[in-house]
Amino acid sequence: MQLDPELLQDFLTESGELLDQLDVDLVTLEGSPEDPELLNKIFRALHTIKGSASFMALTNLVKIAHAAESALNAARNRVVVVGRGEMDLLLQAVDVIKTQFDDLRAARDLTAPDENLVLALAAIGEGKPAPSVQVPVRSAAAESKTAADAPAAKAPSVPAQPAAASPAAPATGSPFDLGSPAPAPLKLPSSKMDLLEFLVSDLDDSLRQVEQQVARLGEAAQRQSAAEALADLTEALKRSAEFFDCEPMGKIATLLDDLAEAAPKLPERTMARALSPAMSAVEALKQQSKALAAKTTLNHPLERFTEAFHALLAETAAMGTPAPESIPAGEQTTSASPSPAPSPSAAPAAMSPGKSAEKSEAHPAAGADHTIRVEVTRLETLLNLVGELVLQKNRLSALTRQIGQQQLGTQEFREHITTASGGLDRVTSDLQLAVMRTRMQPLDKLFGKYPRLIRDLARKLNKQINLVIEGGETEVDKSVIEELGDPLVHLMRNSADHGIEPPEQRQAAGKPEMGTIRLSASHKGSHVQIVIQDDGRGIDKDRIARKAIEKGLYTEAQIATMSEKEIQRIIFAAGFSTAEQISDVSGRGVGMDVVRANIEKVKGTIDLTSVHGQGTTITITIPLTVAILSAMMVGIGPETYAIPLGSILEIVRPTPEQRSSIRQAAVMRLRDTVLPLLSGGELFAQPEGMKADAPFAVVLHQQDQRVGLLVTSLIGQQEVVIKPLDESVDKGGPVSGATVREDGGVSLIVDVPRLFSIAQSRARA
Amino acid sequence: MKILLIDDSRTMRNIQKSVLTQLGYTQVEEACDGQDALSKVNAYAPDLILCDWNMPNMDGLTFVKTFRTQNKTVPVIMVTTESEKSRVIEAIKAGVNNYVIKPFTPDLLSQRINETLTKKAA
Repeated sequence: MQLDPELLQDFLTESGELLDQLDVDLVTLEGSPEDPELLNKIFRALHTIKGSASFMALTNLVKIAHAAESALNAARNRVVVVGRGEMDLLLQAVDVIKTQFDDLRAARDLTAPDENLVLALAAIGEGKPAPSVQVPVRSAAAESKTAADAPAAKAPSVPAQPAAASPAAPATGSPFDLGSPAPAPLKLPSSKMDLLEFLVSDLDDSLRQVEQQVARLGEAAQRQSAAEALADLTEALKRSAEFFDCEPMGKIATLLDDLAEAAPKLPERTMARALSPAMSAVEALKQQSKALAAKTTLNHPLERFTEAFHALLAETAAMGTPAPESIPAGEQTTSASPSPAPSPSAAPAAMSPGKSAEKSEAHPAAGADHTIRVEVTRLETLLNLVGELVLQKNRLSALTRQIGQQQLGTQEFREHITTASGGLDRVTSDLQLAVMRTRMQPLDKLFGKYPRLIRDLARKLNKQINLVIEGGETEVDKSVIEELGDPLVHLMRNSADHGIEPPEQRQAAGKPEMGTIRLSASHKGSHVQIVIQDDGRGIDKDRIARKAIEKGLYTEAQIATMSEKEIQRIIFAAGFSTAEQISDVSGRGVGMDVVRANIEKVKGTIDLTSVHGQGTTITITIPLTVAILSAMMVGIGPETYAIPLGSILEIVRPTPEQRSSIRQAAVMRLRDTVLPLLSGGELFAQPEGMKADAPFAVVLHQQDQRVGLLVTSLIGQQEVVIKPLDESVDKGGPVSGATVREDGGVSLIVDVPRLFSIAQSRARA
Repeated sequence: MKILLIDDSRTMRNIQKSVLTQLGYTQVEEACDGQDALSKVNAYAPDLILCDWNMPNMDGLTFVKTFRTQNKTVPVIMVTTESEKSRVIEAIKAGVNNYVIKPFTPDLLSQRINETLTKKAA
């Protein structure tokens, strides 16, 4: 197969993103199978993938994408409802496409899709629902066969009832159709006219946010916060509308404001139904914004919309569950009375929901002009160059200080060079930050994969699991994202497999049958915190202790002295795994120690708290970037080392009385605690004679553990650029990297986690 | 017609006050920043507020945001510089009713005040 590599790359990137999103959307769809926006979105994604694929003559891909697309089209037209069986087939289709993408990347011929799967999907496309039988997930061949056989047998028993509402006919008369009214010239005093361009650019931004929040309203877990955010946005919109005498805009904003107010109390089904009209309202606002840019206003006909929308919002839990048929029925009655079209431009065709959906899609596409794709290697180069620049800047700052201290040159010269150096300092910091930002990616890139993961696991394990994801928009460095992928998957699997109990057990324990896993991310200063919390069975400390003794990791006497938390932390120790039987879900020989190691690789920390019977919370803290580090420069013997500032608790000068030893291991008494002391000279293999005098103890911490590192001298704080060391560099002691100092020399960076494992193994010896 | 004038510069306050006096508005209370204004606004109960943008302690935008949480009706005119113009939308979103760019003539200020009050009355 010969394809233009550049074109192929573009296709793989763009469609790959669509594909990842498909997974998420399909799982969401399972929860609200009649959400028209979502159905449209999924349909469009498949349609886009199919379109590009056919352009490149990828027949096998087109085949499966087409089949899935037609199945979705049937769902979109309410011919079938997407149930479990249909969902399994659709997810399988996505899996097939993913395999084909892998083939493309590996320059192989595309895997042909299973004919039965294609047929089963096509059958759905023709309005025959798939059987909702319990089928094992991911055994594609076996499952699609049953599915393919079944529709023929089952189809007649399920009449395609909603089809009666003529799915193809556009719902022209829907009260929620705002059409496209003709523009009228905008009349404003010149002082306000002057601000119009600022308003329009602000509107673009605000409306994008409004759109996001409206979409978030659809997710129960985010509804409250989305409603609050939306209320703030609409309040601002109303004020802008009033200032610019744009009455329709104010009215639409008020409608959305009403929605924000009502949303938290709306029944789930009503909420799902309100989303589509809300999106139409947002769309109308976008039209308003465009019109304003052209110094015109649009007078959207809002009466019927407002009436119907308010009726919807007034629904209470009791009445919020009308049969789905009532929706098309309502549309039919309203379409009987011609809509009071304000202008000829509001012709029926222009008002079909399909069209407005396309329009709303066109918007992000227009926004795409603001982004360009850049090869990662170029960004790496840029970051490296900035790193070099920081080093040179540090040297210059050092020289400037020297000039000041030694009073070199004239007073004026010294002032100038200080100013110049200060300016460079500032610009470099800004530049560093800006370049770093280009490498930031939202955690959603990772989080987006988990709804599918958890859904499949839940089905496989016969558990009910609700996954709540928060803060997916939090951005971290690309390299961090890459390193986090595996550990997070492992932790999520753990929570689902070992954490959440089967429904019967949960019920017996007085918990809701549906278990919850909450995955959240947030900024904490220069760090990002990721929390995985489940309400499962928690960690049984006695079982951990037993296993640890069995495996010879600890003695009974040692366990007796350990706190509950310390015992729980044993699961992070190498070679520890409690899984009673190895399941193919989470017991894959990769233990929590690997998870910890991966996280420590990106200078992160992992901590765990668990209450037996109530659940486990795992907290991961990772730095925003791995390339630059605030460090304390210390002297050990004749050499200078960098210690990550975040790991330093305090620096003390222990008196001889404070220092002693327990079973040959050096310790230090600090206030009312005793902590192990490590000699820098010894660790970093300084020549004999250089080791002796080490007056300072740098107290390092890792979670609740502490250790003292003896150093010869303290030099000062510095931003250091981390240069990775070759894997083979292992002889110089526990170091994680190197950096270039202000004076141009090279220093090694102390590997704090390694120090702690050294201290631990010594304590145990 | 009571006006609250918020500006950190005494000179600017005096200039604006004299302009207001020329226009026939004689009841003018002064505040030197957003915080000062917040402490005075309830007791004074002005009919109109003229507020500078850049001020120490609490700037005009923050003042408007805070003030609007307790009072949605009293009109606020933001006094800005040409360079702040691009940010006026922010102020509008926070609840400002009109704006005037420094330096302004008595005519211009009068026009803006009338515009604002007329709209408010409507």
